[in-house]
Amino acid sequence: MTAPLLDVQELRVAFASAAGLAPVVQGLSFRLERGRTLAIVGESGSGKSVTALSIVGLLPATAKVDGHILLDGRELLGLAERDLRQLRGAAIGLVFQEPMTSLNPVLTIGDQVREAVALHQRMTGALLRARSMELLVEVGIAAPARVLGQYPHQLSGGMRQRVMIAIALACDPPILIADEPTTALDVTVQAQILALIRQRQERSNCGVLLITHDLGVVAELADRVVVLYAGRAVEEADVADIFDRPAHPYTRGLLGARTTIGAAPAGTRRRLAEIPGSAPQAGGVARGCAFAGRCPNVHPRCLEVRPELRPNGERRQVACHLATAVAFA
Amino acid sequence: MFAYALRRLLLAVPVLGVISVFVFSLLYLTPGDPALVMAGDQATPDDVERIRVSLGLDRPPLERFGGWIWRVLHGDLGHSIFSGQPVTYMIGQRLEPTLSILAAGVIVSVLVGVPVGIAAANRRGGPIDRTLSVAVATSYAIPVFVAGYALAFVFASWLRWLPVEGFTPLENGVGPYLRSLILPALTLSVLFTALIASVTRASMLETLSQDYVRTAAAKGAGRMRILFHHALKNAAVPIVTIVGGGVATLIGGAVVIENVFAIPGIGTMTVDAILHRDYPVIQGVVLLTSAGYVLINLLVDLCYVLLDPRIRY
Amino acid sequence: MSERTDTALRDLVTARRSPEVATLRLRRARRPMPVAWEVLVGVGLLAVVAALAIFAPLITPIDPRALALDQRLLPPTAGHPFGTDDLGRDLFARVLYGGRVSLGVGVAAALLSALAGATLGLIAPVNRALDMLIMRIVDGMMSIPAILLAIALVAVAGASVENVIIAVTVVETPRIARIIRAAVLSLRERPFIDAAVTAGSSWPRIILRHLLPGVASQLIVQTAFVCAAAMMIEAGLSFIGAGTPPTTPSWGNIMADGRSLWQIRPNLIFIPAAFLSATLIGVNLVGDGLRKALDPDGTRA
Repeated sequence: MTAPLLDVQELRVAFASAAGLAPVVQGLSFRLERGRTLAIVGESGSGKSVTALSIVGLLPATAKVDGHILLDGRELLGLAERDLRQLRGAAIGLVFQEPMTSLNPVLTIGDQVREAVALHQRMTGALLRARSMELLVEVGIAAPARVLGQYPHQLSGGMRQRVMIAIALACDPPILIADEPTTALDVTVQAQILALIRQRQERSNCGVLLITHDLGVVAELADRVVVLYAGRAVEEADVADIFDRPAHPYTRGLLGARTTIGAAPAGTRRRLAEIPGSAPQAGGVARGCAFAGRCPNVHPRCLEVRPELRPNGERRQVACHLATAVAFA
Repeated sequence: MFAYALRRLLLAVPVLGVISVFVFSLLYLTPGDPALVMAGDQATPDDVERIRVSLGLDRPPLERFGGWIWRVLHGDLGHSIFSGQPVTYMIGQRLEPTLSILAAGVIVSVLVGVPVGIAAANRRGGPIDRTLSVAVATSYAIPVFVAGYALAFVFASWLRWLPVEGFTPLENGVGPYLRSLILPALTLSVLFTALIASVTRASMLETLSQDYVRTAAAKGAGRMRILFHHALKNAAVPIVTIVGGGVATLIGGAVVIENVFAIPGIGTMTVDAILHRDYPVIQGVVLLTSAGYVLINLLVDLCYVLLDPRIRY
Repeated sequence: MSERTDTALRDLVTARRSPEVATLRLRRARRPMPVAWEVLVGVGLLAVVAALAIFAPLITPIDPRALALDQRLLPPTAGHPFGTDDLGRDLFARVLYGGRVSLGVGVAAALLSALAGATLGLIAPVNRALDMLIMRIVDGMMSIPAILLAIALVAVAGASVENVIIAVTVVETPRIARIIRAAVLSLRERPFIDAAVTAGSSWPRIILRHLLPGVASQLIVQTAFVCAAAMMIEAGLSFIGAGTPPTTPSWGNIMADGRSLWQIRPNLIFIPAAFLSATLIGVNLVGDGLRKALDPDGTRA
C-alpha cells in the first residue's frame, strides 16, 4: 500500500471555555489517498468541521489540538504559522459551506482569484491574469473575463461556489477539503457542483476530503466513508458497503432517515424513520457508548464500556459491541 | 450611483430647512421685543423703530422668513449689532484659525486612532486593547477644556516647548503656524482619538469574524495582508461614519478651547457675541457651522460609495 | 446621517450579538438581577459627591460668595482646604456648593430629556406623517453642534440655571427620541404586539402597557448617559460664560473664574475639574453597569 497522502492519527480537539475544557473531537483517525475521496459524515456538532479546520491550523486560539496529522509523512500539528501558511492553498485547498459570505464583498473576483495564485507562485501581470481566466474556465464559468471584473454580490450562489473551488484549486494542491460544499445551494446547482468536484479530481488526481451530513452527496462522490458521532468514528467502510450493509445502528439510522422516491409502494406513505433523541453536547457522555441512549439495540454492556473501533470484515471498522459480536456469530 | 448622490442631497434639504427655521426663530424667542433687544440700552425710540423696519418685524412671519432666506442664500447674514460689520465678513476673518484646528484635530485623530484600533483588534485582550478601554472610559469623563489646560500645563508652562496661547496665521510662516496649532489640535484629538480607535477596534473585530477572512487565511494569506487588504476596507464604513459624526463634537470642542488658548477664531467671536447679545452673529455662526456639518456628512455618505461596491451596483 | 452614527457607534461599541427576544426580556426584568461592579463603584462615587454637595452647609461654614480681598489666591491651608480664588473666595466651599448646581442641572436635564424624548419616540411611529415630521425635526436639531445649540438658546433666553437646564434638555431630547423610536419600531414587529392589537387594545394602551416597558430598560440606560453629557455641556457653557450666571457657582463657572490665573494657581481649574471628572466617571459607570444588567445584548435598532 502506498503511503497515504494525509494520515490523521488519534486527533483530539477540545475548546477551552469558562466551564473548562469541552472535547469536540475525541480520538479520530483516518487516511486519505491520492485520487480517492474520503467522506466524513455526521450531524451538526459531531466535530466534522472542526476536524477540517484543525488540519490546516485555522481553529481559534481557544482550541487545544492533540494527535498527529501527517501530510506526506510531515507532521502538521505544532508546525510554525509561517510554514502552515505556505501549505494552505498550495498543498491543501479548502472549500467552505457558505458561498454567500465566503468571498470578500469589497474586492473583485479577479482580485481574489489572482491572490490565490500570487500568494504561492511568482506570477504577475498578464500571466497572472491569464491564469486566473484559465482557472475560471476550468470550473465551468462561461464568461471569465466579465466575471473577473465583477463583485461577489453580482454572482449567484452556484457561481460563487464555482469561484471558491477555482480559488481552492488555484495552485493545484494534492488535497482538497470540501466542507459541506453544496449544503447552501439549490438542488439543481448541487448536482453541478458535485460533478465539478469529481471532474477536477479526476483531472488532477488530488485526494478529496469531503465533509457532509448529506448521504446523497456521499453516494455521488465518496469512495470511502467515516461516520462520526459525538466526536468519535463509529464506522468506517467503503461507500458501497456502508449503503448495502450498514453495521452500526447510527449508520443504519442515518440511512433509514433518508427519503427515496419509490421507497414506499404506490398509494402508501412511509413514515420517515427518525433516530429518537438528539446528539450529546460536546463532551457529554463519560461512560459507555455515546449512542446508547438512542440505540434500538441497546444492551447493558453498552452503558458501561465504550466500544472501540474494531475490524468487521475486510475493509470495514465498527465501534459497536453488538455489531462485532454479531459479525463473529 | 448618481441617483444615490442625488437622493442623499435631497435628504439634506429638509434638515437644512429645520436648521434655518430654528436659527431664524431664535431672535423671536427672546422675552420682550426683539427690536428693543437688538437696539440695546442706548437706543432712542427712532433707532428702535428703524431696526424694527429693517428686521421687517412689521411684516407677516412667512414673509420675514422668506426675506431672511433670500438674503442668506445671497450671502447676506446681516450685520453685527455691536460692530456693524457684515456677519459674513466677520466669519471669514475668523475662519482660518478655527478650520486649521479642526482639520489638524481630525487628521491627527484618524492617523493615530485607526492604527491603534487595528492593533487592539489584532491582539484582543492584549496590552493595547486594555489600554484602549481605559483611555476610552477616561475620555468620557474629561471635558475638553480641562484636557486643554492639562496639556498646556505640561507642554507650555512646565516644559516650555510650545506657546501657551495665541495663533500664528499661515502667512507668517509654516513653522510658527504649526507650532501654534499643536496644543489646540492635540487637545481636540486626545479625546477624539480614543473614540476613533474604539470604533475601529470594534469594527475590525466584527470584520475579522467574517467567513471571507477565513477564506483568505485558507488561501495562505498572512496576518498583515488579512488586516489591511481584506479587513480594513470592510471595516471602514462605521469608522467613516463616526468620524463624520464626531465633527459636531469637535466643533463644539473647538469653540471651547479657543477660549483656553486665546485663539481668535469663530469660537471666541461667538462667545463675545453672547456677551453682547449680538444675535445676527450668533445666528450666522450657528447657521454656517450647521450647514458645514451637514455638508461633511453628505461627503461621508458619498464616501460609502467608494468603500462598498454593493451600493454602487 | 447622525442616525447612522448612533446605530454604528452603539452596535459596535456594545458588541452586538444575534436576535433578541422581547418577551423573554420583559419577563427577565422582573427577576432579581446580578449587580455589575460598575454600578456599585459608580453609585459609590456619586454618593460621595452628592453627599458633599447636599450637605455642603454642614461641612463648611464659609459662604461660597463671601469675598475676602485680603485673602486672595491663597494656596491650600487649614482654613481653606483648597485655597482661595482671585477674590478671596474659599474654593472648597465654592466647589461644594457648585456641585449642587452642576449635579442639579445634570439630573434635571436628564430627567426632562428622558420624558420629552421618550414621549416623542413613542408617539412618532404611530403615524407615518407624524413620524416623518418628528424625525426631520430631530435630524435637523441634531445637525447643530450641541454646544452651539445650547449657546444660542442661552443667549436668547438669558443666563440662568433654569435656562441652562432647558437648553441642555433641548439638545439631548432628540438623541433619546431617536433611540426610543428605533426601539419601538423593532418592538412593534414582535408577535406580542400583534396579539395585543388583535385582542382589541387601542394604541395608547398598547404604548403604555406594552411598548413602554419594552423600551424602559434602554431609556434608563440612556438617561444615565444623557446626565453625563448634560453635565459636560453645562461645564462647557459656564466655562465660556454662556451658562450659569457668575453669582451662582457651578463647577464650570469656578473654572472660568480661575482661567486667567491658572498658571499661578492651577488648583483653581484642576480641583473643580477633578470633581466633575469623578462625577462623570461615576455616572458613566452606572450607565455601563445598568446596560450590562438591563440590556446585555446591545441596544436594538
